[in-house]
Amino acid sequence: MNKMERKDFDFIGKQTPYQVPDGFFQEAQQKVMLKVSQQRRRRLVLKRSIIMLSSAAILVGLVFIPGRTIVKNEADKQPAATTQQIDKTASGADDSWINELGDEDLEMMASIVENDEFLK
Amino acid sequence: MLMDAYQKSLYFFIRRMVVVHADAEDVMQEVFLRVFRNLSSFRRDCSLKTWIYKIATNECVRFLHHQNESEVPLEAGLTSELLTTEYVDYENELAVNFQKAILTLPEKQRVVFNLRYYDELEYAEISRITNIKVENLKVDYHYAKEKIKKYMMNE
Repeated sequence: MNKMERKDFDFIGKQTPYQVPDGFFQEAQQKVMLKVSQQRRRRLVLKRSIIMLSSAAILVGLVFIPGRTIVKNEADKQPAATTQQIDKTASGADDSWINELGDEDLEMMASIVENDEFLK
Repeated sequence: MLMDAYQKSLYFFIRRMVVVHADAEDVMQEVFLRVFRNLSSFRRDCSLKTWIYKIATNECVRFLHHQNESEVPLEAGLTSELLTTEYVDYENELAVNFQKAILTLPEKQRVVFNLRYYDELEYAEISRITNIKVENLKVDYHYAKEKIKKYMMNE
């Protein structure tokens, strides 16, 4: 601050009427330090809780998620058969089975079908 | 220790801003809690003193705005508190009147005057604290001084 600025209020200088109770600054310092340590302790507890929860979440993930992935992968490896494929497979099996039957067997089967109330 | 170095000057800066001792104590406590909480993020783009004063100024302004929710104008409220509150040396009439004069200033000028006159901060430092250009700060300080002189002459 230059001399000109200081001259402006030479009659009073820096004095103020403000006072503080005895031992105020020492007490205020202790209060602040106490609060700071409380806050640090609270933050430490919070940090530990977050770490524990994160670890638990990772553990749960490791136990359950890969199992589901394997099942899914196996299912992916064996794609579902189409209707045409099923029909084809089914008709292929029927043909071979019918071809192996003799005439007498075929006639017997035809009569069963004709007499069966549920197949009519 | 950090508090030993800044506590007294910071308390009286806050006290000149908020007037009541109990309020100044609360604000100062909050300032130091913020300082300790954010000390690791202090970027050293200004001095530690400037950084602490910036936090203190913001806390004072926040406190005063919160107080100002009542219908009484802020300056009038602070002046009446000055005349009734504890821990004021009322026998020192000159000093009381000088503070009354400061309390008539608008908030921005009061901040600038207190930081410049009492705490003797450089304009560049006050500029970092208040985010006001140095040229504007000089104008604000000049007007503040003129108003205080005028007030004191009329007392």
